[in-house]
Amino acid sequence: MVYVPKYYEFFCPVKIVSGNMALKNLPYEMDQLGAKKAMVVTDPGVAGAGLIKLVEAAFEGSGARIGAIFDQTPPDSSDKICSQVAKIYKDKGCDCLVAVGGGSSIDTAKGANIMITEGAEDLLKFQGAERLKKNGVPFIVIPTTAGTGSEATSAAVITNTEKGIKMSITSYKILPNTAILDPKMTLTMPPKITAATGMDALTHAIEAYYCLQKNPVSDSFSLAAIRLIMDNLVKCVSDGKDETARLAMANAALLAGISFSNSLVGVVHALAHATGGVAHVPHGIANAIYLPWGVEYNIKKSAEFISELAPLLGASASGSAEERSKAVVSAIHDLNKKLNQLSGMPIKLRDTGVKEDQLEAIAKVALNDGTIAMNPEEVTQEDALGLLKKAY
Amino acid sequence: MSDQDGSGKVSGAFKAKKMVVQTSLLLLGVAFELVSKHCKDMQDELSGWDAGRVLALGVLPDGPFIAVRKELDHLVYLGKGDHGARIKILFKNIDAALVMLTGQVGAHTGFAEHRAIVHGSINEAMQANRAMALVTKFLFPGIWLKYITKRPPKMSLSDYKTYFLVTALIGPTLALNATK
Repeated sequence: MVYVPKYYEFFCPVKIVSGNMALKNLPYEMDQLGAKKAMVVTDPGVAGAGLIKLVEAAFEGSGARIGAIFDQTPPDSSDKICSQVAKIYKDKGCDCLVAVGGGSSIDTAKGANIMITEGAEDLLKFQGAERLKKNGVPFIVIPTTAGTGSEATSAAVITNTEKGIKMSITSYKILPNTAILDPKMTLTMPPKITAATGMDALTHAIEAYYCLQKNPVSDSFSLAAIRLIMDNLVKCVSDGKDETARLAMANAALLAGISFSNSLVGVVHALAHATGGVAHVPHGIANAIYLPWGVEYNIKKSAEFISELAPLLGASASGSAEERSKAVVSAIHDLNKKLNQLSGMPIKLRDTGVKEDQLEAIAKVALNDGTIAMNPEEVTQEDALGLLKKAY
Repeated sequence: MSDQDGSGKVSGAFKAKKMVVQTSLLLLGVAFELVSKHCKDMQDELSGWDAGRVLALGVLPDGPFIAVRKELDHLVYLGKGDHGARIKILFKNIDAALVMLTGQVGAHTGFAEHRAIVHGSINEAMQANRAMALVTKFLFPGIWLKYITKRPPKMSLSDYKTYFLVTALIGPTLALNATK
């Protein structure tokens, strides 16, 4: 059944350039945006893996060039890093931002774009939703993981170093202009990270499918993403050099990103964000661990939607909606077990280094996460703690 | 005739809706103060707020707005205007404010339908949202809450005491704050 809510909004103007040698089109895409001199934002891991050399090679024989490369993005983006990027961008006379990496590099470029465009040093005043009025500078994203979907989302999470808080900025103005998905850019991802980022994408797609802002457009993106993930994630973890599977996963992450950017996510993400904040567990791993428990928690309210996912996840498609939803939960547990066997990705919270006495703090932090508002079932601190104990 | 034709003139219907919204905001602001003074759960929730935090609620683009400020363990209704609030819950238009403030749609549905947005910290907005849920528990009948909340709140014995106090005091308090 296709569900149409009484009211919804959907927005995704990102141009998608996907496939073999897609990276070679970077100078052309810059030209389309009226840009000639790129500022590349990346992290030490991506640079160390030699991926920036591939980006540099793409400029050969073109009229465009790289004006500066910032390759020191840390795992958690901060306002100070954004400010550094914005300063280099201006000093070197660049006219375009190119983020090459995962969520942190992309969020750093989003934050720097705000600073460049708004002429602001302090991002605090842009916290919240839809506070930006100016269009950003040309912005292209080349993801090197297949998980966050940040190349197509309207949100950025950036740490305020002075206050020690994570600022959440949501605006249609920070969406990239172009996302370039080239399978060569994800080939070097190790199996464990491939598994965790893939589960991050699956979490985006599944939560977006049953959370409160779901709509027929985001649903179609979620369903395509889930199909691609179920067909290709295990292949990518088993054989990282499978370019066809890598490209499919890059597309899955993008589709899931478009979906959740428009329909948001729920308690799984709230717990994962809190676990990252309190115990520094990587986001993808936390999502993988919490996903089956979060889905199970919402069966009472959303069995009708969750059960529709059963055939896609290879679960039993017979019985009542509740039975099929429970089969979905089992299928996610099975997938986690398989990924654990193949890559060593933890599937219990206790295996991530989280101490039992940290659970209460995680539950408390999760309640203040904005994503929890869009979870179909109410979540109290007691409920969150119950979920954490199950996942532990 | 549309509510607003760009000439600055507004219809009688728009004025009526604005008046209902203004009154609802006043009621909510006053209820914030009353409930926070008498409800233990609300005071527990407010213990996570920093002293002096101002929360504003209002309608884009030109209001009305109201604001409340945390003082000691409770909230104080500051009156009309946003009072320089760091955290603002903003309804996108008068109709959005009307359906949400009069309980025709719940807060979670209103936000899911993009009828309101947050300016400021999302964490603080979540705290404000929980505080607002505690206030609505004493403003709407249980049967109504069943339809506009994800999980209808349970009423304890002390909640009934708060309910009767709020019901008894809301009229005079509204009258006292009407011009604020």
